[in-house]
Amino acid sequence: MRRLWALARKESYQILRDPAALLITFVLPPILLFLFAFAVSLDVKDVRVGVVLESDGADARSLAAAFAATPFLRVTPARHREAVEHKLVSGELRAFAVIPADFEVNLQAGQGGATIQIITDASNPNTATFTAAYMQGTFSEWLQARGAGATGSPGITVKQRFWFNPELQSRRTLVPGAIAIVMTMIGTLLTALVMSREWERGTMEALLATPATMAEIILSKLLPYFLLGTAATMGCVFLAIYLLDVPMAGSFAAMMLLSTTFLVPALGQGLLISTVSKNQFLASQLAVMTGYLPAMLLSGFLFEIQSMPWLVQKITYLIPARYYVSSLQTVFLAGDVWPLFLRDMASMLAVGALFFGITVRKSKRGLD
Amino acid sequence: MFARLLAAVLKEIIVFWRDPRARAMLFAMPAVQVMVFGLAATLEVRHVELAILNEDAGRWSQEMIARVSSAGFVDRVVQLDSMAAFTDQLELREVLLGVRFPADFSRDVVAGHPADLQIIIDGRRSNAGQVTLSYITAIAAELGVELARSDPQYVEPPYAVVRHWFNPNLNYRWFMVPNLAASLSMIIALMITALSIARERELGTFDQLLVSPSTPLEIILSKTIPAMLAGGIVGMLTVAIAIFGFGIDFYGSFVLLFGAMFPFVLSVIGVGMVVSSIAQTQQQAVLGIFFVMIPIMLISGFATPVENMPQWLQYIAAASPLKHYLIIVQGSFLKSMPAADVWSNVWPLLIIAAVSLTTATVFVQRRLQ
Repeated sequence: MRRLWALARKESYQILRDPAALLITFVLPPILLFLFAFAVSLDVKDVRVGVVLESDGADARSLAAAFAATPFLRVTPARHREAVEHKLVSGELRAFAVIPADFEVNLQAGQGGATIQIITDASNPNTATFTAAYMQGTFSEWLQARGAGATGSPGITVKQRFWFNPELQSRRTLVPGAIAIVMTMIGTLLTALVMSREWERGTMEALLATPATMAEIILSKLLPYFLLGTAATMGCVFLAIYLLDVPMAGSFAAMMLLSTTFLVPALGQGLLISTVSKNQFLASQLAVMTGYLPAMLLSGFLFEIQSMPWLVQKITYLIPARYYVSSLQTVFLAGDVWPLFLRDMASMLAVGALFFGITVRKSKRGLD
Repeated sequence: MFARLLAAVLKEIIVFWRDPRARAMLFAMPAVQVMVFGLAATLEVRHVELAILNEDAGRWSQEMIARVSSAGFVDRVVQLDSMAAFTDQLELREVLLGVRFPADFSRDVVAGHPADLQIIIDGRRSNAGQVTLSYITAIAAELGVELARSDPQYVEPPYAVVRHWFNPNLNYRWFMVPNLAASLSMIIALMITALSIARERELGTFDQLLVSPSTPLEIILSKTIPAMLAGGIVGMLTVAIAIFGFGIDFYGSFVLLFGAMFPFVLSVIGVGMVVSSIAQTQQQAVLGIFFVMIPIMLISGFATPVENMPQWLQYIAAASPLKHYLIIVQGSFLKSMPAADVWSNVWPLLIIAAVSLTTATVFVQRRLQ
C-alpha cells in the first residue's frame, strides 16, 4: 500500500509539472464545450441564396421581395440564371430560386401548375434540405397571403412537442457529447501515452524489476489519471450548467457515478493500447483511431446509432462512449432514470473488464 | 546540400518502413476508418422505433397508423394504451417518439375540421427526432391532400419544383465520405510530423542533428518530405475507397484534386511542425496536436457547415487548412469544380504553409543559439 502511494505520488507530480497534460485537462475542455455550444450547429440560418427574376410583372417582384424579407435567407438578386449557376459550384450560394418569365401566366391559370423552380447545392444534403424547405415555406406563405393557397378540407394538423428539450437547442444534446470526448482524451489518450512511454524508454523493465507488482505499477499509473478525469468532468459540468445554461435535470451524484464508471473502460482502453503498441507513435495513432474518432462519430451524439447499418451498430457496442453519451444526455435533460443508468453502467463495466482482461493476457506473454 | 537532404529523407523513410505495425497503422487503418465511419455517419434516419397512443376509435386514425407503420424508415411500432407507459418507454430510449390520436380525431376529419395529431419526441435525440417528424408530417400532409381532393370546390395550389444539383438523391454519404478522406489524411500527416522532431529531442538525437552539417532548413525539409509522402498516399488511398468502395461519382479533375492535395498536406505539416518544434517530449507533441486538431475539425465544416457558425469564428476558420481543402474535395467529387475556383481555395493553403513552416524553422534555429 505504501509502495502504491509512493508510485502514485511520483506520477501525480509528473503530471502537475507537465504543461501539456494540464493543457489537455483544463484548457481544452472549456474550448471544446464552447465550440460545441456556439460553433457546431446543424441549425441552418442566414443561408446565402440567389433569386433570379426573369419576369417583370408585379407578382414576380412581390415574390422576390418576400424572399428578400425572409429572416433565414440572405438573398443575392439576379436577372439571369447564368449569373448564379457558377456561384452554386464555387459554394458562394447554397441555392437559388428562378421566377420564370411566364410566372404570372401560370399563376393565373390556377390548376396547380409549376410556377417557380428552386435549385439547391446538394453537395451538403442537410443544408440543401433545410434551404429548400425554407424557400418553399416562403413561397406558400406568399401564396396564402394573396389568397391563392390550398382550399377545401383543412386536413390534418401535426402538433409536435419535444420532451426534455422543448426549445430544441442543439447545444443541450451536444454538450454531453463534448464531455464524452474530453473524458475519452484524458482516460484513453493520456494513459496510452504514459504507459507506452515507459515501454519505449525501457523504464518499464526497470519498474518490473523492482519489488512493486504489475498490479501496483498499473494502479499507480491509473489512479492519478482517474482523479484528473474526475476533476475535468466536474469542471465541464460546472461550465455547462453555469456558463452555457444547460439544465441539469438529474442529480449531481448520478452524474459523478456515471463519469467515474466511464473512466473504467476509458482507462482500460488506454492501458490495452499501450500494451499492444509499446511505443508512443503507435499508441497515439491507435488512441485517435479507436478512441477519439469513435467517441465523436459512433457514440450517437452527432449521428443516430439506430440509423447505422447493422454491422456498424454491432461495432458501437464496443465503444464505451456510446453508453456514456446515452446516460449523460439523460442525466442532463431528462433526470435520474435509474434503470437506464444501471444498464449503461453495467455495459461500461463489461467493456472495461474485456479491455483489462485482454491487457492482462497480453502483458503476461510479454514478460516471458 | 541535395545529396545530404536525400540521404536524410531516405533514412526517415527506411526507419518508418521497417516497423510493420507502423505500416499497417498508416495504410490499413485509414482504409478501415473510411469504410466504418462512412457507413456510420449519416443524418438520414432509418430503423425508427415509435409508439402509438390511439384514443380514437374511428377509421382515420387506423388509416394514418397503417401508413406510418408501412413507411420505409419505421422498424417497429408499439401500441400503448396509457401516457404513463409511453413516458416509461421514452425515458428508457425504447422509442424515439410517440404519435397520439385524440378521441375526436376521426370525427374532426369527417366533419372537415382541422384534425389534431400529436407527436411527442425525445428531445435528447433532437436531430433524429426532427428528421422523423418531417417524414411523418409529410405522410399526414399527403393524407390531408387526398381528403381535400374529394371536396368538389378544391383547387390545386401552385407549387414550386425543387431540384437538388450535384447529389439529386440527397445521399448523405456523398457528403461525408470525401470529408472523411480529407480529415484522415490530415490526422495522419499531423501525427507523423508532430512526433518527428519531438522524438529526436526525447531520445537525445536532436542535438546530434543540430551539430551535424545539416542546416535548420534541411532538418525541417528532411522531416517534411516523408510526412508529405505519407499524407499524400493516404489522401489518394481514401479518395480511391470513396470512388470504388462507396461508388461515389467523381466528376472533377484528378489533376486538380491531386494538385491541391500537395499544398494541403504541406500546410498541415507546417502546423504539425510548429507544435513539434515547441514540444519537449513526444507526449507533449501528441497532446499539442490534439489541442489544435480537434478545434480544426470542428470549425472546418467536417460535420456541420461553416456558415452556421458566428461570423468571427468563420474568420478564424479561414486559418484552418482543412476548411479550404474540404471545399476543394467536395467540389471535385460532385461539382466538377473549375480550376479558378480550386485556385481560390489553394492560395490560402499556400499562405498557411509558408507562415507555419517559417515559424517552425525559426523555432528550430533559435535552439541553435
